[in-house]
This record gives sequence, C-alpha cells and structure tokens, in this order.
Amino acid sequence: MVEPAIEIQQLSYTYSPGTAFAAQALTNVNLTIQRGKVTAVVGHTGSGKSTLMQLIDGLLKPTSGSITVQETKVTPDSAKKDFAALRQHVGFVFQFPESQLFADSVLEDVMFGPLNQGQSEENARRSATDALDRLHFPVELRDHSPFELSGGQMRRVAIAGVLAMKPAILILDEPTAGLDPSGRLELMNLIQKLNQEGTTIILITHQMEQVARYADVVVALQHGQLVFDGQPRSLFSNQQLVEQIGLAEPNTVAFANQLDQAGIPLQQTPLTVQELANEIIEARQKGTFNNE
Amino acid sequence: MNNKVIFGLYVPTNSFIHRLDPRMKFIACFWYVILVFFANNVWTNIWLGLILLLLIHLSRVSLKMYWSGIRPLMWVIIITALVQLFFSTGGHVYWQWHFLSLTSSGIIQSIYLVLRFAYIITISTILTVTTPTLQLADAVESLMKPLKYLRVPVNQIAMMLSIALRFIPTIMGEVTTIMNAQRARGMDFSTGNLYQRTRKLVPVMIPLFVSSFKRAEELAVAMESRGYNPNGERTKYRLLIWRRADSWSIVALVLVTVVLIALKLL
Repeated sequence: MVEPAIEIQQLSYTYSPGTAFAAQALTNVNLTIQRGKVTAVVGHTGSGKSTLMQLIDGLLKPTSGSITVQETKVTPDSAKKDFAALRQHVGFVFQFPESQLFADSVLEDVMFGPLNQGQSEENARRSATDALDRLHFPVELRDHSPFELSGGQMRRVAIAGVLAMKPAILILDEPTAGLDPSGRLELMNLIQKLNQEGTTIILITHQMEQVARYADVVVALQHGQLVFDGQPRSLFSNQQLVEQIGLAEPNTVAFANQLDQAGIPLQQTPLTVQELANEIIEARQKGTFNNE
Repeated sequence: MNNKVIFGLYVPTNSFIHRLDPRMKFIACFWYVILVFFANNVWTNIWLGLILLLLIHLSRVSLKMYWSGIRPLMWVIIITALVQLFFSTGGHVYWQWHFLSLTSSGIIQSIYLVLRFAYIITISTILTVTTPTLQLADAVESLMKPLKYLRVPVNQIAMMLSIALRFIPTIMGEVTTIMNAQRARGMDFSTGNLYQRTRKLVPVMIPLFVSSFKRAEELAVAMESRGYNPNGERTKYRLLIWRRADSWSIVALVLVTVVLIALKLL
C-alpha cells in the first residue's frame, strides 16, 4: 500500500500579486506524491515546475490552497515556523547547486545543513562524512576550499550538503545539467540507490530518457496547470499529449512510433532498449515483419 | 516571500511621459530639484506640489508605487525634520528647554524640509518608473558628450553604467536563489540579533561575489570575442529622438520656473 508523502490541494501561486508585475505561476494544482517513489516533474521552462518545488519546500507561501508534507500542513495563513517545518522533511538540490557553496573547506560546507538542523558538531561532522562517502568524494580533497574543485566535484559537494541533512523527501532540480555522461550516470545511479533505501525522490528534468528509465510516476505541467499525472508508459504512449506539452519522446519511443508508421505495431510502448528489443522479437515471432 | 517589487523600477504603462526623450526627462528632473531649493514660501511649495501631482497623473503609475519610494526613507526624513524643528531659532517661541526650542519659524522650516525631501524623492521616482534603465544610461551618455573634449572616456563610462544597470535585476534574482538554497539547507534569516543576522549574510555574500566575478569575466571574454574595442567609435541601435513634445515640455518647464519666480516675489 503506497502512502502519500506529499498532498497538494487546489494550490495556486501568484508572483507579486496586486502590482503591475503580477504573474500567475500555478493554477489550482491537485497532486499526490507517493512515498518511496521516484516522481519526475516535466514541462517547459516557465511551466511552474520550480515554483511548485519551492512551495513544497516551504520557500514560498501559497496564494491559495494547501500543501501537506508528511504530517505538516501549510496554507496561506500558516505561521513561519510551519514553513520551516516543511524544510525539515524536504531536501532541495537547486539547479546548479555548486553556486551556493561558501565555506572555507568542503567538509565545513557540507556540515552547514546538519548544524542548522541543530546537530552537534560531532554528529554534523559524521553526517557530512557519510554524505561525502556516498558520493565517492575523495578524502584528500575534503579540507580543500570548494572553490579549488572542478565543476563536477563542486556539484557533488553541493549535493552532499543536502544529503547530509538526511531528508525523507529529496527534490532535485535538473541535477545532471552540465555534467559529462559518466558523471550523469553516476549521479542517476546514486539517486536510484537513495530511492531504494526509502527516500522519496522528486526529479525535475528535461531528459525524457531519464523519465523513461528512472521514474515510477511522471507529472507534467503546462502554463501552471497539471496536465498529466501517471505512469511514464502511459504518458509516452499518448503521442498527441507528448507533442502538445512540448516534450521530446525518448529514443525508444520514437523508434517504436516509426515502426508503427511503417506498419509494424508493437504490443506496448518500450521505455528501455531491452524492452524495445523484446518487443521487436515478439513482433517478428508473430509474423508482423513478413509483409515487408 | 522574496519577490518584493523594487522601488523605482520601470513600470511599463506607455504614458505620455514614458514616450518623452530620456534626455529631456533627465534635464527636467534635475531642473525640478534645483527649483525645489528655491521654494521658500507657502505658494511656491503648493505650486511645485501641484506640478508633481500633474506629472504623477500623467505617468499613469499608481500612487502606491510612489509611496513605496518614500516609505523606506521615512525615518531619515522624520529625524532631519525633528532636528530642524528643535534646533532652529527665530519667530515666536512656544517652548524652550536648554538649547532646545520650539519656534514658529522652526515649525514652518521643518514642514518645508519634509516637503523638499518628498518632492525630490518623488520626482526621481517619476524619472525611473517612466524610463527604462538602458535609456537612462543612453541619456547620460548623450548629455556627457561635451566632456569628450576634456578627454573624459565618455564611451567607457556609459558602457560601465549600462552594464551595471543591466545586471541589477539579474543579481537581485541571484540573491533570491542563493537565499532560497541556503534556507533549504536550514538557514533561518529572520531570527537572531544584529550580530547574528550579519553573520548569516556570509553564506549569501560569498557565493554572490564568486558568481559576480565569474560573470564579469565571462562577459569581458564574450565582449572581446565579439570585437569590443573600448576606444572604438560606437553607433547606437536605439537612437534618441527629440520630438516636438520634448520641445514643448521644455517650454512648460520654463513656464513653471517663471511662475515659481513670480510666486516667490509676491
């Protein structure tokens, strides 16, 4: 039985309300994020993804509606400490998180979060070391200034800074942007591992391959409204919707669609290369290939 | 929580004043400030206030925007007015205690002082809410042109000015992002005493400086790779055009001045 980690009800958000710069970012969003799953959030730039994530992390006050994270519920009238309580459950890795590093050494920077949580110096150090270990961050670099590191290393330090707080829910805003292919794979494997250990993952991404491969649930936003909430397979099998939201389909889906156009329909939309291969084998056995 | 409207930011309402030449607006604003210092009686102050109300009305920007410009400076105005109120002498004495005194001329002078502050802040706000920052920079450049003969590097100064103005919103956005990132890491900016709060700025200021230097370097490389030469002769994409409305505005400005002098002599 899956329980909700986050429940969002009739959530709306307007930037700078009542001024010439007012902009409606989210309109009446209802959404349940299930505990222990990987939820991918997709949509165009400016579709409201980041606003939604900031609301979940208590960084913005909703204009109307409510957000419940674990047992904490916030509404537009909630007090400041309720929003701070949201942040106790949620870890947020911002886009290009390496731009938030500031401390004299890598270890100190990673300890910043745990210390803010009220952990003792000793515990904070342990949390930080654990987090850095998980990211396979070289021990000999931990006393160095974070500004001496390479881009990929800085990214890992920044992510460790969030992991060290041991959040039950982890939001990652395009965590692989700007990383090389091996760095990307390594990071996605780590995210998968964290998920297997029980962390609820929310992943903002523009990479549909990542959605197909890693996500249990996909949520699509367009113009601040929820336009899809379901399994990746059912999103990608709806070619019209994918196009309407302005998403690119994963390579395997594109391949299947071309086969379909050539008169070779597959049983189900393949999300991985393995699935695609199996589908093709099945189609051949059925003899659909013979009319070529 | 961090998306407050910045005071004095350009508000695009495309009013009559918006369409005037920025050079004219700049000169007029400057001239008005000088006039404010000439106003020393009831009628001249009323006259300048009326002009200001007319300009606010013409700008089609809500009064609330102008009020939010004055509000942050309220304390400075009040304290200056109080100093003026208790330390000036002359006229009828209502109350006296050691060196403090409350006199009729002191009251009048401090009222004028408050008005002076309010007028100057409001007229500059009118200028900035009706003129995009890049146009303002263009206007300054254009008005500084005569200084070229004194070997002042007008082009470079103008480029620096427009880059600085251009990046204010970018940096404001970055401050919000960094503060959010640190708040997500459990930082609470709204508690603690002055010392603690100042210390809390470190995790914001350091990343901000780092990224600002990085951006400056990237910008310099990008400009040079596109052949920017600081001493080169520059042409403009947006030309400033002096229209008939601008000339008429100058005429109006002269009339305002004449009336002011007349009221002063009354």
